Amino acid sequence: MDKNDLEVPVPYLRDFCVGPEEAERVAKGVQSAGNRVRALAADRLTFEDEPAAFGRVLERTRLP
Amino acid sequence: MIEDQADTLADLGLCEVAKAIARRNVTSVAVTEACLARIGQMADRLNCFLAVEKDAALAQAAQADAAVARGQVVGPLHGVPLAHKDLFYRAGRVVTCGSRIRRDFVPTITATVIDRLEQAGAVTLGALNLAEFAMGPTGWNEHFGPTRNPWSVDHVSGGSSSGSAAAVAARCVFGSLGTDTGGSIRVPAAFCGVVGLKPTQGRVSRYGVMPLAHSLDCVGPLARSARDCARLLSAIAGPDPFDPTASPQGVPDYERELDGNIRGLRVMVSRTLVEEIGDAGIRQMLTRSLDVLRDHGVVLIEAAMPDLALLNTLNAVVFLCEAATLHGKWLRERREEYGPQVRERLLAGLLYPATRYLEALSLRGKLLEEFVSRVFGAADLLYLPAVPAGVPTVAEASTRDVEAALILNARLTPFTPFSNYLGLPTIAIPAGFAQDGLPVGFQLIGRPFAEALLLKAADGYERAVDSGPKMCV
Repeated sequence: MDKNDLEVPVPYLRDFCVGPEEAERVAKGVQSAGNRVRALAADRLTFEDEPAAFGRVLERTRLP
Repeated sequence: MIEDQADTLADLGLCEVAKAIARRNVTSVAVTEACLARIGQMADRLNCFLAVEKDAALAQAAQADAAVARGQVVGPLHGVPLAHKDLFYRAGRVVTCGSRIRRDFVPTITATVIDRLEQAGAVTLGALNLAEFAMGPTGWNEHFGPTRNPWSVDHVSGGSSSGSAAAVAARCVFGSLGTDTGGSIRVPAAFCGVVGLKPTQGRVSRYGVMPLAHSLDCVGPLARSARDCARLLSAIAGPDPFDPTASPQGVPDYERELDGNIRGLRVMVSRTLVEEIGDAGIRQMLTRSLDVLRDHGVVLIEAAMPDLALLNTLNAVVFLCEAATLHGKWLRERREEYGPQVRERLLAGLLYPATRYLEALSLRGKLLEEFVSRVFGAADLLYLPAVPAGVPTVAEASTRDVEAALILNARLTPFTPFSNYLGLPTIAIPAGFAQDGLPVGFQLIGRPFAEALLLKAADGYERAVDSGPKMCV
């Protein structure tokens, strides 16, 4: 996890009146998921991929 | 009505009772009274109802009977008592969403799916318990207490559609609507021994349904058979001018192809994955279900599974970011009114950078295409266990240790969230009972909009094992 993922959001959680222990635990829980998505995106994402493509694929891959 | 008669009526299937009412073999009032009698016997023990609307239901039933007497059967659910997860809006009635925050919330609109069920003639018996804001596979609810499992009241019913599965299994209602963002229809269906269908993303309108994650939420039926689910899905599916995300695709007659013939159906499975399940009772029932499918002509195609853990992770990122956004104002202003398990999960959604969220959404089309090509290029359906672990006890689910609760949640859901991320239709089917006497279920997953095939396969399996209705506690 890079610094932007951990060090910025933890203070941000203080807006939600969460104590430092809970904030740290929540942040750590996010770590592996964020890393996996970032690595996958770096490997696979292209300029042609965008959120709306999902709906088109859903319709296209339906049963004939 | 004497108790035996009430039990006999409540034990009928949804389609059977609809037919009996339409043919005037029984009145809707008698059926509704039978359900109310079951609720009287069961609801307090199971904590599955948040509200019972006895007088309104009996009035609706009387109207249904009067219509039948005039020769008018308004639809395929005429006079059939149902109740739903308490997050479907009904104008003028409190909808709690299983929360303290919305304990007194009265919507001004009615959900499209509720409108459609009532247009089809259904009688509404009340509102059913759920996990707080539909978050949590055990069904644990900090504010209203847990829904207990009809097969063992020391165990949970599963969630988040906890009351739906329990009420259907306990014969309090003939069917119910739930919602599913990561397994919330299928997990409780499996734990309670009923059928639960998560439709294709967009197959069913979500207008007037308390959202959890817009990109992932699905509305679907829980009932005691595939045919009953087909009846309910036919009533609720289809385009909706109030929900632009609802698919414009036409709705087939989901009951038409339920002929019991599953011969030649190609089902992909990883036997290795089933054999690796630690609980011997669950493993045995799943193995038996595969043997039944094979013995009735299904072609089982052995294959390694795609990386479901990765897809589940992508689902979690989308889910948490969207849920945290929806709950942002309340998280700031009413943090103490959330149960600790739900609050901590929501807070996690605040930590992902926007780029992570958009990466997860942008990868969705590509990964769906790859999954469909890999799985459905070789098979018609994919087989997976519903839940690979035993049903938790109420004590396990109610732990105050949030970390332990989150670990338990993860243990229950390795095979369900991925199909929300991919938008694929998935059905949970009862497979029998483990050694502890609690139900076990498996899932079949289909191509987009393959609900008819899923229901046909589930119906064929039910006939093959002759898994007629069984009475629980």
